[in-house]
Amino acid sequence: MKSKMVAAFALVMIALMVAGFAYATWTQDLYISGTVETGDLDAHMVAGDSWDSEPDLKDYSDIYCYVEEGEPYTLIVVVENAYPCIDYYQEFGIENTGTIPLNITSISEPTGNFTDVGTVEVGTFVDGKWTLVELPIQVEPGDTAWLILHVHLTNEAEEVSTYVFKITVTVAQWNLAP
Amino acid sequence: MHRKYSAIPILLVFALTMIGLVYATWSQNLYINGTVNTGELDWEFVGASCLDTSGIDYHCRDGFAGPPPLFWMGDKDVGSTSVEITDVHTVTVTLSNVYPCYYTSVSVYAQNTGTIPLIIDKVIIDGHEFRKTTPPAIAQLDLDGDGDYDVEIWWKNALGTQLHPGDYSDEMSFWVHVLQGAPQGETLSFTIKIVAIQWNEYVPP
Repeated sequence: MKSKMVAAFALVMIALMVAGFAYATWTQDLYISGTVETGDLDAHMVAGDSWDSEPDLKDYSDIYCYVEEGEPYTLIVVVENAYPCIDYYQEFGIENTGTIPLNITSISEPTGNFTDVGTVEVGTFVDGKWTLVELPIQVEPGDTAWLILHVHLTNEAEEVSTYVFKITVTVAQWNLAP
Repeated sequence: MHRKYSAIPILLVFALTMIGLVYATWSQNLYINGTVNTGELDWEFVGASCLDTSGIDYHCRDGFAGPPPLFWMGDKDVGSTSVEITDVHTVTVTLSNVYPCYYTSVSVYAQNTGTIPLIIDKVIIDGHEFRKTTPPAIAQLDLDGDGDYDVEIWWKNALGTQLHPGDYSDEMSFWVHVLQGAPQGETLSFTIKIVAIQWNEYVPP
């Protein structure tokens, strides 16, 4: 009986030694603290120059545009006293006000009742020749892409009338553009 | 069977990942809102006058032919001419108790009351259209339809003239000559339409 007691004590001691060995193993943890600060995709409309095909002595109609304060995403374009077969041009910019490059990925077809009586196009002049815009256009942060809106009335337009149109321009992060 | 079911969560996770990818594409819409207010092409008569409102009658040769004088005063006061702006777009000319060889002239004046420049493009005299041409714009009219001409009208000027908004026209005049074919005791009517178009649509003849 006494020898059994001694054996049990010995086993307990061995077990404790093994456990003690495990506790005594030196360890050290390393940590990676990650912080991802995302960028900002943002663009604002910028009003540009305006002109039309009326000669100086017949400057009776006008096109102009503006961006309302607090509404930087919308360009308001107005053509006053318009009449058929005059070409109205409104320059506008898309300024990359974010922190990552963006692509102008799409410019929608115009909607609104103006499309029944005229055309609206977005393009630019290349070597003096009107050219429709080709997408995508990449804009770096802080840069501005300048485009031109061309408005033209056909003879279907009624006198003393108001017509409206709307175009949606979509910009997306540069690396996800098609 | 268990393997089939175990594939469902994997597919769901994959689908959600794909949806998440689509939602995560950063994009932004900008808008161009356009308003086009059209102008107005309008002009109105502002003055009218004529020869022989009362007094000695005038006469001329057929076709308003020369030599000068192209018209002359007779010695009788029988016929007369009156002219009135009946509305801003209409001048009514009335020849009363006139007879063959009777001659009169009418002058009208107009103003561009619209908001865009216009050009006086053409005149249409009872269906006869004249533009700015070298030959005289003379129309012979069979107003009673009996096969012979009753009056002839010579539109004199102003075709091709440009008027800016607010501008007054120069004199626009026409001559009227009653011909031998005119019936007695009848009332004959003619219409002269003066057509103005926006300046940039004018095509010189």
